[in-house]
Amino acid sequence: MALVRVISSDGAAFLVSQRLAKRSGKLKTEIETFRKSSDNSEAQPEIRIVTIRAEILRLVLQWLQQHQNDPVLPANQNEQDGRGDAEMGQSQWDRDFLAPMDLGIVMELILAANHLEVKGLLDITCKLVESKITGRTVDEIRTAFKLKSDFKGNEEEQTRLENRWCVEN
Amino acid sequence: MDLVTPKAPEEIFPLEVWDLILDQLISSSDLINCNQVCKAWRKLLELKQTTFFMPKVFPILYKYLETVEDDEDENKEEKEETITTILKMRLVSHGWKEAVDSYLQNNHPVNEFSFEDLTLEDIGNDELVPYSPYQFGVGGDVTSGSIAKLESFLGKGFSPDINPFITREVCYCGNVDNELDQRRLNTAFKNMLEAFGSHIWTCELISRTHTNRARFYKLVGSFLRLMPNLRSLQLRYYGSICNGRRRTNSEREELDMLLKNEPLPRLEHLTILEMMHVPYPLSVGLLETNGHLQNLAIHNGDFDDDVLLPDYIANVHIPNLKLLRFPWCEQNLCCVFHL
Repeated sequence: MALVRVISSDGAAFLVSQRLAKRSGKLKTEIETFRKSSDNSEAQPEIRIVTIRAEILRLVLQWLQQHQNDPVLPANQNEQDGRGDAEMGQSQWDRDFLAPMDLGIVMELILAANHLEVKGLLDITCKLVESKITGRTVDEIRTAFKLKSDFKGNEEEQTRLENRWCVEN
Repeated sequence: MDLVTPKAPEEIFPLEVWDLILDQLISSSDLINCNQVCKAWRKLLELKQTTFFMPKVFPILYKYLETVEDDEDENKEEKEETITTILKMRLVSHGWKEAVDSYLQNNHPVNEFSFEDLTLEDIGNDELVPYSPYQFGVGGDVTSGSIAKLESFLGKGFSPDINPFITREVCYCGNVDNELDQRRLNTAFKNMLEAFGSHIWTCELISRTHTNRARFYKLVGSFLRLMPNLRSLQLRYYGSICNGRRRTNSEREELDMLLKNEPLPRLEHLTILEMMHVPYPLSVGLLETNGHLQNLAIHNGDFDDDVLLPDYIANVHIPNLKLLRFPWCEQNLCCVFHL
């Protein structure tokens, strides 16, 4: 089985099958570029991902492993509006996978899925964050994201005024 | 202090000190980098993650929030829901507000320039003038009702330090038939710019009025002087010019003097300029005072009676120009030069 070494920003190396890695658009491109530039067809590619730390990279690979037999969603699917079929693709396993995560980790996962071009993972993580915002009050959003209002002076009041002006206009 | 051997953060300073240091960081990119440095720093930054990731996440998330395509009027309710959600996100925290505003201001996601889509036959059809719900201020059909709205805007209670235009984008549409209303509109627009013009980065000026070259030059110049931070300007003139398009020798001398004695302001941040049927000397003045432009589109300009437009452009000093477009060329095919 052909393997590839994927190295996180903090130096952790993950040895994964090329078949699995190629389900990420970014890793697929990197592997193909390596093949073209390498004289030795047996050489093992090594890909360093400088923007993703080990904990997050492990989660991405874990998700890819679980979904390795799913049809690959093209990166430009629903390009018009950017959305994939998140609801269709979300399984009980996905829900259990995301359930224990803090929203900070989910946001980091969004950036990782976007960088590595893993459309299915991007869809379910964005959908999760979106569901914590849409239809909620400002206070409910702050609670969900563990945020406190940090507006200074009358900034919050001015922001309300700006928002009202936008809607009126 | 030995800085060569790697050490745990707490071996250098107590974690409370690191907390104070990290607390000083503002930039989302800096905080994201620090979040990757070590477990101790990540732990200290844990509560801030959902704030500092938002500027990077929002552009990706936006597509999931945007439930309908821009031009589907029949889905107005869903579109309004999207806008409501985005506006609500601005109220969550200062960091989220900055993340949302920065994306809207730099990407104008729902109001891309559609200059190339206009054909000569389309001119005058109001529906083809792009209008977006994020284009706050004045825009679309200007009636005396909307002039009153603009006049009342100044009484809304905005502090001049606050930017009331979320996208930093305003549109002036001077298509008022009644001269009195036109003057009222100009005064209201100028008053608004005097208070908030420095916040504006993108401006669309559309005029359908019957005027003369000098008056139009002065009017636009007076607007531009109040928008010193403008980055992108779209200027369209669909009206008629007194004495026709051709200039007499004496008129030409007068206009040349105007250009020399009352130069247009140099807009230091202006990189994109799109001009449609803009009369002389405004057309020439804009190019001469803004030689730092990077992206220029000209649709039937009025530059120099004796020289063809491409030859004229070739002789103007615009050293940073990367993209030059003549969108009217050959059956509405856009003629593009990447320089």
